[in-house]
Amino acid sequence: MSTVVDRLLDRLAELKTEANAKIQEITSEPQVQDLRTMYLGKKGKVSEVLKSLGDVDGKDRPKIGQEANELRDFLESELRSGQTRLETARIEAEIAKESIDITLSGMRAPLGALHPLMQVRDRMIDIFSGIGFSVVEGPEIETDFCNFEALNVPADHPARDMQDTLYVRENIVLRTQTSSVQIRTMLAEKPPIKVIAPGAVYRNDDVDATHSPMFHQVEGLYVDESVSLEELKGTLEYFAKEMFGPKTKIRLRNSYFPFTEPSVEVDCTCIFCKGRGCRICKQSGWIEILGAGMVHPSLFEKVGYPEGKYTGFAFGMGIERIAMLLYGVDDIRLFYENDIRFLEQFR
Amino acid sequence: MKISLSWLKEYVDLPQNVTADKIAEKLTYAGLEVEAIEDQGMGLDKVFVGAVLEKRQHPNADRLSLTKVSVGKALGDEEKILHIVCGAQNIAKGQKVPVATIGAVIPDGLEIKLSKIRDETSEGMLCSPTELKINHPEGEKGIYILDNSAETGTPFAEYLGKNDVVFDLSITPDRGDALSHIGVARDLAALFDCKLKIPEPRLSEMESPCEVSITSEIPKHCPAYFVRYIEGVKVGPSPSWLRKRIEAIGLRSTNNVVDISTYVMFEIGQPIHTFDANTLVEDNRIKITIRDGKEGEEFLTISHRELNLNSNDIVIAAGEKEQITAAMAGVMGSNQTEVSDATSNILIESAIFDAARVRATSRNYTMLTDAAYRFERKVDPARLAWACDRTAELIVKVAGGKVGHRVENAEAKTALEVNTHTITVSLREITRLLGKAPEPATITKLIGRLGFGVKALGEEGFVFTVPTWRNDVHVAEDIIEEIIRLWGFDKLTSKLPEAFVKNETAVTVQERQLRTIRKLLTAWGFSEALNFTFTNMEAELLGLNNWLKASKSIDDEVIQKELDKDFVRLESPLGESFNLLRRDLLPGLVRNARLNASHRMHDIRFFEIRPTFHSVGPTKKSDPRTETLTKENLRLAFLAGGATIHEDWQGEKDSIHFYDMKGWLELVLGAFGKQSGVRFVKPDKVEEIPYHMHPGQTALLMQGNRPLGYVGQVHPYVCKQNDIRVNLYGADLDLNWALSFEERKHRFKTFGKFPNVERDFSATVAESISADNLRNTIKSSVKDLLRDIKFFDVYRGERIPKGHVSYAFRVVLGSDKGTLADKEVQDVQQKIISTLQDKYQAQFAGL
Repeated sequence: MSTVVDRLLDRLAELKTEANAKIQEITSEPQVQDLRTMYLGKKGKVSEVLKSLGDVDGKDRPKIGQEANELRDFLESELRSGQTRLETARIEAEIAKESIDITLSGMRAPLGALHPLMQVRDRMIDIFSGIGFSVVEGPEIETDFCNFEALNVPADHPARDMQDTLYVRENIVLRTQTSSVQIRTMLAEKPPIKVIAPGAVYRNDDVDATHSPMFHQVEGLYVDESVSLEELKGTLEYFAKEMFGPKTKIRLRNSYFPFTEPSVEVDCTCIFCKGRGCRICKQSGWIEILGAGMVHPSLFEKVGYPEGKYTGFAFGMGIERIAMLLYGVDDIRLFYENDIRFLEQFR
Repeated sequence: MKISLSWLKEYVDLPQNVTADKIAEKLTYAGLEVEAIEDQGMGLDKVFVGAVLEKRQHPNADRLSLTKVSVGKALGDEEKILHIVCGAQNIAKGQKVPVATIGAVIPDGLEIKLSKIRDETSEGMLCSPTELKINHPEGEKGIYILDNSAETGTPFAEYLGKNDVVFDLSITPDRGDALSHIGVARDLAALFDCKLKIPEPRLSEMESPCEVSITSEIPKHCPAYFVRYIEGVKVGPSPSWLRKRIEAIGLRSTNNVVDISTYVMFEIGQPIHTFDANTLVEDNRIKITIRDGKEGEEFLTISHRELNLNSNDIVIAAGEKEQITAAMAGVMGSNQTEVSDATSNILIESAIFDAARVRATSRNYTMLTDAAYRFERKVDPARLAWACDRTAELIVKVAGGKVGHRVENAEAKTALEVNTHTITVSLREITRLLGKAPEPATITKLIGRLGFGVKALGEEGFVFTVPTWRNDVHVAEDIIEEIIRLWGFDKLTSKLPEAFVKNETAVTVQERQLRTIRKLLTAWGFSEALNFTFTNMEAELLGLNNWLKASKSIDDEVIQKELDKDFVRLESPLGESFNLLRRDLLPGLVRNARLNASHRMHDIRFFEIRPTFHSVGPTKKSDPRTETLTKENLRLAFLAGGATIHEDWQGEKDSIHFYDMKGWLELVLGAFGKQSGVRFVKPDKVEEIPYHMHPGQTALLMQGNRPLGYVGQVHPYVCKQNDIRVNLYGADLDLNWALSFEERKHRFKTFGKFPNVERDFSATVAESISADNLRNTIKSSVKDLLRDIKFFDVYRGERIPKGHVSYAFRVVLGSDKGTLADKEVQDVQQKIISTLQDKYQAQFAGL
């Protein structure tokens, strides 16, 4: 009796050796399935052994069954690792073939640039809106009243020499300064007013590296019952630090604008030499960036505000000037040529 | 304006050791901006007059000599003799020469050091005129040989008379009072808290041998006119002290009399004119009349310009019949009455002329003289007589002569009785405007030094009396400016205003929307352009006129009419090329494309957001203060042409076409929010298409009858004319309209719970039937169940009849109530087919 059991056990051991040898030799994925069918399929060689179980004594059957199942598990696991080995080899081969030249450029759709002047303008709007200034705009074609008269510049005033004006017709001009928006804003609204007005302005200048008949300014106006020069100083210092860096300092110098009193010109520490003195700042360490002052009381009178009720400050600065400083642009004409080689540097 | 430091020091005792830099800084902070400091002696520090004591041959070099040079006591209490090696051939014992001692940095940049030249020590350098940057006939040739009278050890700058410092000041138009040395000295006296000294003229007068009378016919415009007659002057070159001063401030010395009038003007700020009195005399009398010019009155200026005057000019006439036109008042004298070398008797004029009229005359003839400049900014009425006397005093000093009495017009006395005006300012006002205020005593001191009367009222503040020369000070704020500019802006603390936002303005909201659009456009490859507002007809036509004329497709006049419509024209243009303002943005972008094409940049994507300008008629309720009879309309234009991807090495590139452009425009519209009734229209008449656009590839964007913009191909002639090798596509949109919508608000909608069903169709219709026709018909026939229609193919060709087009499209159907049953889908499908068959005789594939 024991011979049947022994024979079956021998057969299983023999199958194990035989199958394992074949599995180790497989070279293609279909062979895996073939071997699986050959040994583990319903009509496979392991099943065949189990079919002979009927001839075995009842007490020996579990032993044979256990051996057979262990063999199945063993072969299944070997087949799987065989399969994995083949797959890995195939994928590895594919990967090896897929190597590419990564130095070729990426597929770039074109990317446009915002105009550098508009970037500076946007930044200024962001800085001032961060401390509560709203944006207003006025027309570029302006009346003599808003551009000059209400700003204390009557027809024969020497201050008109400071700006050569382009006329559309008598009393209608291309605005020479965004300060005209101060008047329009105050005509339309009662204080408190806290606005900035960015926009294009015009002068009758010939074009050269530092002059352009069209350029841009940002005007600021803050009017309330008790606005002080110290607040103007604080506001401009905040602006300069935000625009040029936290270590920037400013200084106020007395100056003259017909529509502010007191009037100041504002310098900030030279952004190139950080105040040590260089060619750009003519060794002074300072660079002029804007004009400002306390709103002249006659403006309040012109727009019909009650006498003595309000004070305010106003400031105005050239966007081109600040952009030229920030970006190191040495010729103002570049801003209006729209040469892609220029614009794309500001992407 | 140039101001000499040595001249300034005659009027103000500045603290010892104060440097020119410190003075410049103080002036600049206080509003008299120093633009440049010219140190005449620059580079001449440590250069002295030396005496050559000995000269012998250098033992080791044929071309060099060894010298012993004394620099006297220049370097210490004892006389110093220097050993100097010299290469020049022109020196000899006993000569005086400039010696640069150790430590000097001479004007050509060389620093002088102790050195050994071929084993011989050299303790300095003997200098040539070139090395010192001095124009001299010796030039390169050798050492500068000085006058033998020069004293050994004198600083060389002093020997040259170049020991002054000159400030170049930029004076703002309000500060007419600061256009002179005394004016600047007055500010310095306040800034350095020191005393101002104004000289008093001393004259010995005589009975004038010549009777002088003055009549001002226009006392309003010439309220005061002072003269003095001087007999027997000797006109000649100015003495060196005078010449030096005149040259220091950048002017050229003329003669002693003219130089003195210039001197007094730059001393006190009052323009002075001197006439050759003999040219004015009739019968031993001088009769001066100040009157309006006559139309066409002939006038020959000192500078030899022939002018024809007009009634706006003020004229100084002489003679019984006023027949001698002696001067254009306040601007320039006549050639005929000019002081020359032959002049022996002179008449000094010191007067006031109306600022506006002087300004007009000076502009009209472009004669921007120093005198006119000062009259325009108003002179000090209290200094008229002083200036007249001071001129007489100095002329006698430098040119001799006897001075007659001062004569003036009848109105002068009353006219000059200035009502001193006072301004009351409280401490509260000062603190309110500045944020803080100096001590009352400081205020009194600072403002008092400027020559203001100051009366302190304790708590109430101050009463300030404005001096006659400060015609720019009228209100409390002007006084407060004086206080802060002298006290110093650095005394103020920086404070941020209270952080409040009153209301977000409409523009702030629009600004946000525009930023979204601008970011989108840059992400699609468009760069933001900025063009001048000015343009001209030729530029706007883009060279199209000739082509269109040749092709006869559009009459030239039609374009002209279109262009003429509502252009805003400049009355004072910047030349012919800038006489109109843009009323369309796209031509500017095309010109940008042309510029870039000329640099071989053919792939173009630009956008611009700017107003266009249009003339309009008056509105009903127009306020003359703000009405300009023009309209500004914010627009967006964008232009593209060339490859869809720039950096592509993988074969064929696609080119941008109409539908790319239309797609971008649709996305832009979408970003502005919901707009009803907006549609793209292909106009029937070619005239409705902008002249610079392709007649078959342009769509107008309309809402009802309102045109909002356009999109299409730029006219092929434009590219041809402008050497642009790719097809350009452009779009234009009215942003005033687009921004008038409420900001887009996002609102979440739940997804449909039930799956959608898709059905594809292929319909062949006559070419005149557009995709829009099909889309709209399907929309109105399917209604509720329709989710979307997508066109995915358009075919024209041999497989379908001529004059037909085949559209393939996908209809997406769905319902919120449940999954659509097959029957429902089939019904809809059938309805679409039958409607299109009925309406457009559509042929469906597979039917």
